[in-house]
Amino acid sequence: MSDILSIVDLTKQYASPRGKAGVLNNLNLTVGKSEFVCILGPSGCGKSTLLRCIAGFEDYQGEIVCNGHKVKKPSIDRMMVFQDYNQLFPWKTVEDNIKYALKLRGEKDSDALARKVEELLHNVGLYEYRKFYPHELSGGMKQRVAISRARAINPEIVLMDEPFAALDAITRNRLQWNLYEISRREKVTVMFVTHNIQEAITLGSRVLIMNSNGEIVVDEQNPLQQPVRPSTPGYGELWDRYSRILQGEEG
Amino acid sequence: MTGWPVSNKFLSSKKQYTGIAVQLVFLLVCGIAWQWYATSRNIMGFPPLDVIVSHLVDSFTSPRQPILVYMAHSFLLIVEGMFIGAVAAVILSGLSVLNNVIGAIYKLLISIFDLLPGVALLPILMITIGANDMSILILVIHSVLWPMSRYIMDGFRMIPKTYIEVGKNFGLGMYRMLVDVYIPASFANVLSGLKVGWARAWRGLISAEMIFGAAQSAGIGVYINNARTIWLDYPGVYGAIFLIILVGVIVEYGFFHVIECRTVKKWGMIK
Ligand SMILES: Nc1ncnc2c1ncn2[C@@H]1O[C@H](COP(=O)(O)OP(=O)(O)OP(=O)(O)O)[C@@H](O)[C@H]1O
Ligand SMILES: [Mg+2]
Repeated sequence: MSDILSIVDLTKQYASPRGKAGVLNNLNLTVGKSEFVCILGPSGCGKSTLLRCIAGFEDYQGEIVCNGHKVKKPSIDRMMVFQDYNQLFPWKTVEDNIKYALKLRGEKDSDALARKVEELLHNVGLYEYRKFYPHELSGGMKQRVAISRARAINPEIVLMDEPFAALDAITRNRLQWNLYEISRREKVTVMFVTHNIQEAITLGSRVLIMNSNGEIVVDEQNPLQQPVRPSTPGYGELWDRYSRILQGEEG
Repeated sequence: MTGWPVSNKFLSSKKQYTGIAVQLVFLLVCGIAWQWYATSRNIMGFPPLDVIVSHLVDSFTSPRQPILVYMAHSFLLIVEGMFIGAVAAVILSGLSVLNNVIGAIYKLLISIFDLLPGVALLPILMITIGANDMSILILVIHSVLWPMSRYIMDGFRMIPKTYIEVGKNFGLGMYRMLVDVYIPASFANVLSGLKVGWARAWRGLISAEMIFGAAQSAGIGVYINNARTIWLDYPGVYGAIFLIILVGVIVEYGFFHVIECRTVKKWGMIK
C-alpha cells in the first residue's frame, strides 16, 4: 500500500497568550491510499487542529507531506469537509456549487458537467434538489451536498471534521452508510474526525484515538468484519474497549 | 429526502399584500386631508392636489422645456456618477483586502470623506472646476463612493470564515477569491451601500443644481428654482417635488427591490 500522507514530528501551538502549551507534540503518522482513518479523542485534544494542519490552514513545525509535496498552504489535493452546515456557497444552487468544483478540476464541457452533477447527486439521493439553493435544504442535505462537492474535486485525500455531529441519529446513520458505500466503491482516502465510537467503528478501516495531550494512543486496523453493524461479532467488545480508553483519557 | 421538493416562496405574499394595502390607505387619507385643507383655506403657496397634478400633466408638454427633459438630465447624470462610484468602490475595497498598505490608506480616506457632506464640497468644486455638470458628477461620485466602500469593507469583514476557507481550499487566486467569494458573500452589504449612496447622491445632486442656478445646468433642481422665481408657478414647484419622490420610489422598488429579490433574498442571505 503506497503512502499518500506522511506526518513527521508535527508540533503545533497557537500563538494566543493562554495557549502556550503545544496542542500537538511530535506527532507521527502515515496514511496509505484508500484508507478510511477515523480519529477519536476527547474534546479539545487537537483533532480539528490536526486536520487543519494537514489541510494547510495553519502553520506548524515538523513535516507534513502529501503525495510527495510538503504542505505549505491549502490545495484542492486535500479537501476539507467542515462540521459547519454553511459551507456551500449560498449564492449558488446545489447544482452550481458542484459544477463550480468540477470546473476547478478543468472540466469545461457542459454535457460532461451535467452528467457528472447528475451522477454525484444521485449518489447522495439529492438529484431532485439540484435547482435548490442551500438555504432551502436541511442540515443533513447540505452535508451530503458538501460531500458531493468534495468528491467533485476528486482530491488525494478528504478531510472530514465531524460532518455529521449535529444530526439526529437516524439521519446520521443513513449518511454514514451513504458515505461508507461511496468511500469503499471509489476507494477514496479519508481522514474522519468524530466523537462517536459507533461512527468510527462503522466507517473506519483504521481507528486512531488521541489523548488530551494530543498524542496518538491507539492506532490500529479496524478488526471487525465489514460492513460493520451493531450485530457484528466483536462489536460490543471493541466499543467497550474504545469507550474505556476515551474515559481514561478524559478523566 | 421525504416527499417532493416544494419551494415556499409564496408563503409570505399574504403578509406583503396587507402591508401594501395599509400603505395605500394611509396615502389616500393624507391626500384627502391635503385636498380638504388646501381648498378650504386657499393659500397661494399651498395649492390643492388637482391643481398640482394638472400643472404637472401640462408641464409634460409645456412650450417651455418639458419637465421630463429636466428630469432626464438629472437622472442621466446620477446614473453615470453612481456607476463610476460603485465600480470604483468595488475595485478599491477589493484592493484594500488584497493589500494591507492600500487597505490602511483607504480606511483612512473613508473615515475622512464619508463624514463630509457632498454639498460642503461645492464651493471648492465651483472654484476649481466651475459650476457645471462635471462638478455635479464629481459630487455624485463622492456621495456614492465612500458610504458604499464602508459598507463593502464591513461586509468583507463579516464574511463567515468557512466560506473564505473553502475558497482557499479550492486554491482560488486573489482575483477569483474576490469575484467568486468576497463579493457574492457580502452582496447584501454591497446593495445597502448602493442604496445609501443613491439617497445621498440624489439629494446632493438636487441641492447642487439649485445652488448653481439656471445658466449652468438643466436638471430638475433648476426647474424648481425657475418655477418659483421666473415662472411664478407654485403648483409647478410641488409637481417637481412629487416627481422627485416618484423617481425615488421607482428606483427603490423597481430597481433595488428587484435586485434584492433576485439575489440576496433568493439566496436566503437576508429575510
Ligand atoms: N485559533 C485558536 N487559537 C488558540 N487556541 C486554539 C485555537 N483553535 C484551537 N485552539 C486550542 O487548541 C486545542 C485543540 O483544539 P481543537 O479544536 O483542535 O480540538 P478538538 O479535538 O477538535 O476538539 P472538539 O472535539 O471539541 O472539536 C484546544 O485547547 C483549543 O483551545
Ligand atoms: Mg474539533
